[in-house]
Amino acid sequence: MDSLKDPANDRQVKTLKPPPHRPLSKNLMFPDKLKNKPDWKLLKDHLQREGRVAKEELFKLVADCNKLLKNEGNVLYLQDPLTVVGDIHGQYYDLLKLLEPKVGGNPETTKYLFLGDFVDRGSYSIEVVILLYAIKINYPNTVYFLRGNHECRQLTAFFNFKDECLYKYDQETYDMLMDSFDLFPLACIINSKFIAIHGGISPDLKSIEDVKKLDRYHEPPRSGLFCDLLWSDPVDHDQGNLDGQWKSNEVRGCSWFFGIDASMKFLQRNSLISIIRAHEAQLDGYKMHRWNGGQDFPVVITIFSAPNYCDVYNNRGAVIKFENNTLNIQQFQYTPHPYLLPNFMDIFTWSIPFVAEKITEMLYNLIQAGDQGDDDDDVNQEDIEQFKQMTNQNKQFNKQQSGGSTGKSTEKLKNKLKFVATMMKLQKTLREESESVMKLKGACPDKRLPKGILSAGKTAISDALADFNVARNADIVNEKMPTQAQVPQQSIAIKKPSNNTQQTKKK
Amino acid sequence: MGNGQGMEEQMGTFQPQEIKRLYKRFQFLDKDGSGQLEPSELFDVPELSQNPLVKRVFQIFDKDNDGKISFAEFITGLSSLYGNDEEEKLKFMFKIYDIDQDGFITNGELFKVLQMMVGNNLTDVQLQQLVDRTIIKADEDFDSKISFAEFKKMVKDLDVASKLQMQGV
Repeated sequence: MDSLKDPANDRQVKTLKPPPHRPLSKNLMFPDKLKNKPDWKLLKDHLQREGRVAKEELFKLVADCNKLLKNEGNVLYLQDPLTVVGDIHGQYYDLLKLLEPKVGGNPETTKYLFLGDFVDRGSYSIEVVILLYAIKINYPNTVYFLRGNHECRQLTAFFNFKDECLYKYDQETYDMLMDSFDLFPLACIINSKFIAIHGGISPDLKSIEDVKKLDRYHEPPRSGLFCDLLWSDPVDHDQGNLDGQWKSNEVRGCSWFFGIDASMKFLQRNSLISIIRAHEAQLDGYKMHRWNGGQDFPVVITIFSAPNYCDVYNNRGAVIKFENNTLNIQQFQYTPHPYLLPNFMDIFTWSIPFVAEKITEMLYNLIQAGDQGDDDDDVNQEDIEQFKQMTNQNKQFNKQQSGGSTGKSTEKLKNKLKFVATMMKLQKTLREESESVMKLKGACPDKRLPKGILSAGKTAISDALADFNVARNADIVNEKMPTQAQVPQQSIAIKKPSNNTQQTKKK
Repeated sequence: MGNGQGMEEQMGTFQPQEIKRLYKRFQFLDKDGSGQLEPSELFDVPELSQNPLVKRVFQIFDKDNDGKISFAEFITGLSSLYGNDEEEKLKFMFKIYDIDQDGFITNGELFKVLQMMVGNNLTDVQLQQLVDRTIIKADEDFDSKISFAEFKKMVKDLDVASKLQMQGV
């Protein structure tokens, strides 16, 4: 695909290959030789170079994949060899690493199960979705997706996937993708021994059959079995101790913590030995919850596949590789991604306020002869009101300025100049506010990341765990389910379930 | 008072007393009394020394490209910013980026101008990535550079005109 050209031959960083100029053409994306399937290898490279895919091609890709997803049950049954992948969160460049032969394995010859959370937080969620859908269409019987708590309208609107969709496409595309996520299965039984879900188990989960009975083809509810499978967490305790079996999960603001009692009860009843799940960032990319002591198989295994989560957690990613009934962990490091301004801001939007300020400042200093004597103008409420008025009626204001006797004029001029100085200060303050995150190199453009997290900085002894904890503690507010008030207003179309025994839930 | 003819148009923006005041100011800046402003006479103004865009603005004012600013050029340059013409202000903003003023912002020009402002906050690679992406976004006719029309489209929601509103001469 043709790169952006350099007609004036003045492009500075020649060692960096520019992105493709145009979206991938239909003929290249769906070549005849593949008979209607997408060329995923070409797509992989195209997207890696920040190439785009046109809306029409995206819709076709998703529609083709939907056909496969729809026919899958709520519960999948898979056998090893199998690679199990945790959260990806829009980190496309880390997904590429994960798909390498020495990490997760070549998709052509490797069976894959993804545990959800493909989108949000990172800024390449679209690319993640496109590539994975393309791979699944090519390998429909060896590549599978489960739904994570982020594959829904509420979270993607609160976080940044919706913004990314609106920036790269439009509302219609976003809605179409939300409908597609509604089709994702919820759980998987591996080797008849392990249950794999995104979040965890539920008090409403007595048997696997309970999952099969759910109508999954809609936005996950805010409580109940469907919600718990995507949201619950194992209790943070070395032995899995928990008073009673279930504790309200205040970290999430919904769902439960489950401990060893609830887990063992469920596992034994269903002849399983362990719960494999994702959902929580891990310093090492994985965690074995060895509640039974060192000897036995861990009751819960958490896998997390987004290294250096949000560009700040400094963690490793990992995947599980099942082979011959043994479970291996393969870790991998973070891969740098192209630099982005917050919310995909372009250079003009970013720089023009600064340029305007510098020009007005320069001319002010140029025109204003050492005429100072003025006290430092602090921006106060009055100035702000005047500024607002000015920008609303600047033409009228201009007309008023001339006229009046020379004596009055001097006074008027002085006041105007004072005002201009104040205005410039205000512009400066506004600009600095919006730029404060940008000034920090490589800062994650996630709009929800607390700004303080970056100024907290690295610990003096550069302790990875301490850094991870600093990040996690600052970011933990974002692990909560957004309240209904927090989610931006949007209409959530609730489809009638296909097997229509259930009523549509009120949102 | 210098070139009376070319000033007719600019008189529309400025009142006679303002022109007078600007001329006094011009003379004050023109330290060597040459009748033109040389770059050093601008850069020597203390408050301007930290402003990364002084050179750009100078070059835009210097219409005949002789490396100096005459009083006519001074008034003309100022009038586009003190006036009410939105298009004039957009043109001025465009010229900040279009270094050789050929009507197109090229990849290298956008990079250079941004670098003046960004300093060490970004690496060259990072800046190049932003530049490439911005051009791809703006470039509708696929000539890999940004025309004034394409620029206007990109910035239409930024209200450039009111940001470049100068008051009070």
